[in-house]
Amino acid sequence: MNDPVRIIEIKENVMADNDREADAVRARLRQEKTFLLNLMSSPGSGKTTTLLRTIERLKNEVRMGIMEADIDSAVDAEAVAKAGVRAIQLHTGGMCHLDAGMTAQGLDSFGTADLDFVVLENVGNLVCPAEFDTGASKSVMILSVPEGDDKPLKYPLMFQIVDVVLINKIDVMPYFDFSMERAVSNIRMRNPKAEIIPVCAKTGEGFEAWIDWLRRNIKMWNE
Amino acid sequence: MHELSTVLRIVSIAQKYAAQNGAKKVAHVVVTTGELSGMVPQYLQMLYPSAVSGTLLEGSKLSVETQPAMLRCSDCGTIYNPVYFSDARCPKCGGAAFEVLEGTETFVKEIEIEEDMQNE
Repeated sequence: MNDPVRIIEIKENVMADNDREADAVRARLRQEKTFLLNLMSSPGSGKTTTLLRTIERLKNEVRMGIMEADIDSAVDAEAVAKAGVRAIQLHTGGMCHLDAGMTAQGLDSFGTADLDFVVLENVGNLVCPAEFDTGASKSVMILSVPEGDDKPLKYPLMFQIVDVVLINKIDVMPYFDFSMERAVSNIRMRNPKAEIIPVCAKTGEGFEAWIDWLRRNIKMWNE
Repeated sequence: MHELSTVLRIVSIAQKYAAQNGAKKVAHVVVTTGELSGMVPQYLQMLYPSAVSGTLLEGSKLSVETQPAMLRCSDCGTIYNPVYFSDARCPKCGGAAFEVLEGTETFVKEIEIEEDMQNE
């Protein structure tokens, strides 16, 4: 005699746990009044240079911390520590992205209760980080001119989920087939609401608009 | 991609509902994965037996259904299923801007359990 068989309807997203953890991270950040920014891009777009220039502009106004995620090496954390800001290096152990669990662990080890603004520098990758909510307050991605104006079409999810797109390395536009108009139009097709800011992290050109966005959003979060 | 962590989460979700419903054994797990999820069903199948070994799901069958992508044209509001996602223009107005309504998620749709008679 067989045991009765029953079908149980579930419809639960495999990301459900991560999404719940991400919401928990955000709730904690609100309580602690710490604004967490998820910074993403492909390798070489200028995340670390952008970060160093951002630190230079803001470190005397807000208490900053940086969480560096890399598969290996402490190059970035060392550069950031030299800039005079508290840094922690998270080694992902080969993982291609960060998720809410890892972010929560990082925040615990780092101790962010006394910080106003923390940047989570995600792994350099346009694919995987877009899929995982880290629990950050806002997210920004950097598209650099040499990468091409068609990237928003080739990596739609990344452009879709961010609050800001920084178009970096505008100083080298004359040397590449990069149309700012096409890039902006392509981004708008996937994300009508994102703030798009052309900058040159190396020289500081265009940076004030980015710093202003940060000031406004840090203030709003920490109110 | 990320099929391994996905399979582990599928098993975890199935186990949770199986336990909640007094299951003795799980015979079948049905997973739906969107056309735009990047999930490769073949890899889920390949990893499944190892993931369920030693659990209530050991020996169970995994079925993976694909859910078509649904896009909504940002210009005229038409809802459509694109043939090629890389150039997904609206079939009505040709617009290239869209909002993704469905097709990026992976979820555990249902499980088939054998109930434990002794708990009746």
